Amino acid sequence: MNTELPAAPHGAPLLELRHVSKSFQRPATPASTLRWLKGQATARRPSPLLAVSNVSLHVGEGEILGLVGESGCGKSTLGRVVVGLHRATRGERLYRGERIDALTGRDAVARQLELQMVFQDPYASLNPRLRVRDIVGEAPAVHGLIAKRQQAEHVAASLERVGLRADMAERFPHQFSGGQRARIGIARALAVNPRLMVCDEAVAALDVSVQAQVLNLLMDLREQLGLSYLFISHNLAVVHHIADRVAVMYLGRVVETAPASELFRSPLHPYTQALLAEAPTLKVAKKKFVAIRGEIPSPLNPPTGCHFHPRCARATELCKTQAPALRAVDGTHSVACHLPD
Amino acid sequence: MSAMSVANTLDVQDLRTWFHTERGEVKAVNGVSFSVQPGEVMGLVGESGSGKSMTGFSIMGLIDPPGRVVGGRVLFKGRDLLTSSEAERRALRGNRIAMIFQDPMMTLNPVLRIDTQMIEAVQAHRRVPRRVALELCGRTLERVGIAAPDERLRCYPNQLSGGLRQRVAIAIALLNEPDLIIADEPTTALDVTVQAQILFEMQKICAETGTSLIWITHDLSVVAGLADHVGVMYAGRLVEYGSVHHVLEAPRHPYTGALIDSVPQPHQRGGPLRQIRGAYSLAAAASASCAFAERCDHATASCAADPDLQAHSDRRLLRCHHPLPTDRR
Repeated sequence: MNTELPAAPHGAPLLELRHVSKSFQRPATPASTLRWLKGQATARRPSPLLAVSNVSLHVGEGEILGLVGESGCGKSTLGRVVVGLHRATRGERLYRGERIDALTGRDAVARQLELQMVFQDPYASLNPRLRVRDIVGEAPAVHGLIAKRQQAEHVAASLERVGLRADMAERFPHQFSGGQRARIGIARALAVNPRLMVCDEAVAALDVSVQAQVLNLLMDLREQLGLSYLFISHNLAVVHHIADRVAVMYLGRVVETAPASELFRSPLHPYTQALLAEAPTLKVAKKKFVAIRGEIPSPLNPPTGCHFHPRCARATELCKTQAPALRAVDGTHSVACHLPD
Repeated sequence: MSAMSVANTLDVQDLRTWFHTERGEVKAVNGVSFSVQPGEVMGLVGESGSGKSMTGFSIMGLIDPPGRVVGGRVLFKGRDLLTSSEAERRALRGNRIAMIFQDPMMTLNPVLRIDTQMIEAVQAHRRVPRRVALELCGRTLERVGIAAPDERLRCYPNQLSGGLRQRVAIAIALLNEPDLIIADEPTTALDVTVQAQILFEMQKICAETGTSLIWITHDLSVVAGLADHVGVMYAGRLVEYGSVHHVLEAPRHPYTGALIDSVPQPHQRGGPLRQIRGAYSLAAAASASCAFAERCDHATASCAADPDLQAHSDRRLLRCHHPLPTDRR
């Protein structure tokens, strides 16, 4: 299987984020109030946490964009902004060139339904007290996509599309294995005919043989339905397998983006390079694991300049003071790094 | 497995751990045997429910009712842990044999400072003054790559990140320079870069001190980089055991082969991944046939009789009537 995937059609991005930032206001604590009273802080509440900072990206029709990064880098927050579970603090979210957050009423709902999410935890994301027919069938009925009497038929079709049997609709979530629950989560998202699905660590909780089944299912669904995915994962092997393009995040910023084959062949950002070097592979060798220094810093207190500089072996004075912008190296490969390639 | 020899750090022979439930006997560990030499890293691989963690817990003597070790021997340096008294085992645990859990908070007490907990672990096994113990704690934290150990010692666990907590848990395991460490998925919850740091420290420590390590994981790629030998478990049994080269590069058990093929690899990007049909079921595990037979592409009528674990030419152990050909890949 050495086929190179065709370049994704970028003509009209299905979804585009322009300079999106998302910050969370933290509540006042006794400690922060005390600092404020002593005049050590200007506000009673601590400074907001900037989870996503000035991110621009797009997902084309039928494209799979992989989003990789370590915990706390803001990749889940970004996924939630894409589907509208969080509203961006700054920046625009465009769906088929339209500012979706500016829409109201029926239009807003109709567009919004085309963006769906598959959650990480196949246990926590299904209501244990609902039968599968309600979990999968509720949204299309509520939104008037189907008549109530068509619900059973619709649920059956959705379940069969993800490889479950139609008669499983009467069961409760606890009667399923982890892999089957992941399929229910996908069936629920599919039930409202989305165009883009955000898969937030959708296979992370699964055993490797089950993970293979779910990855195959996601690829089949893209083939059959022309779906696009924003595929969020910390697992580089999985992202390499499924994604057309990849964006790498570090502490709220996108540091590199490129077609998957190119990114894995010639990563440019020192962080991407370290990530790829450290990812364990099946190649048998008493591998010498080389540690990159330190851990991902807290987003509550990010380093100045380039966020990666305290861990970067090649950091210069410039890196400590000025954040590098994302610059295009060639048509499709961009990197946010001061260092020459 | 090789004949019992005192030179081995650990000899597990026909270990059986069963759970007595309302719906009958569940054989979580069903006749597992292997041995580990000083300084050796053994990977114990399997999917959820395969019994890999229960094997580790059984060796440590941490099985609670309704579970019970119903048979077999666990020889630690020639001494059977299963017939030892609880006092004898307690003297070994945390001292000569240590365990690292997936969740470091299984090891750490959330309401005690790190120094209190570490000093306790030292003084439980050695009569040394607090000052000496504290010094040892600081040195051990340094060994697992913690910068500014004195500062960390005064922290509570909740003040540390997940990666740091796991390092502290590893440091506690190392405090008394054990002969054997059993690590149950200690890096599964950690980020790639932090995992690499911890694997790096573990490799170094095993090489330097001759500590044996059993690394329990579902992640074949971690084992590929770390282990000398690997055992693959399915339904409470070892189905294949051998050197990591033999097993991962030329698997002979159909389950091992299928497991390896279901891991995404760069050379087959975008292609369909191999799927193992069906799902693991307790009924199949309890039946008299090969537990994997109903999911296996190579199964025949002869698989109705459960195969024995047999030694093959490359010192590989295999539980299969129809092993994959040696030149499969």
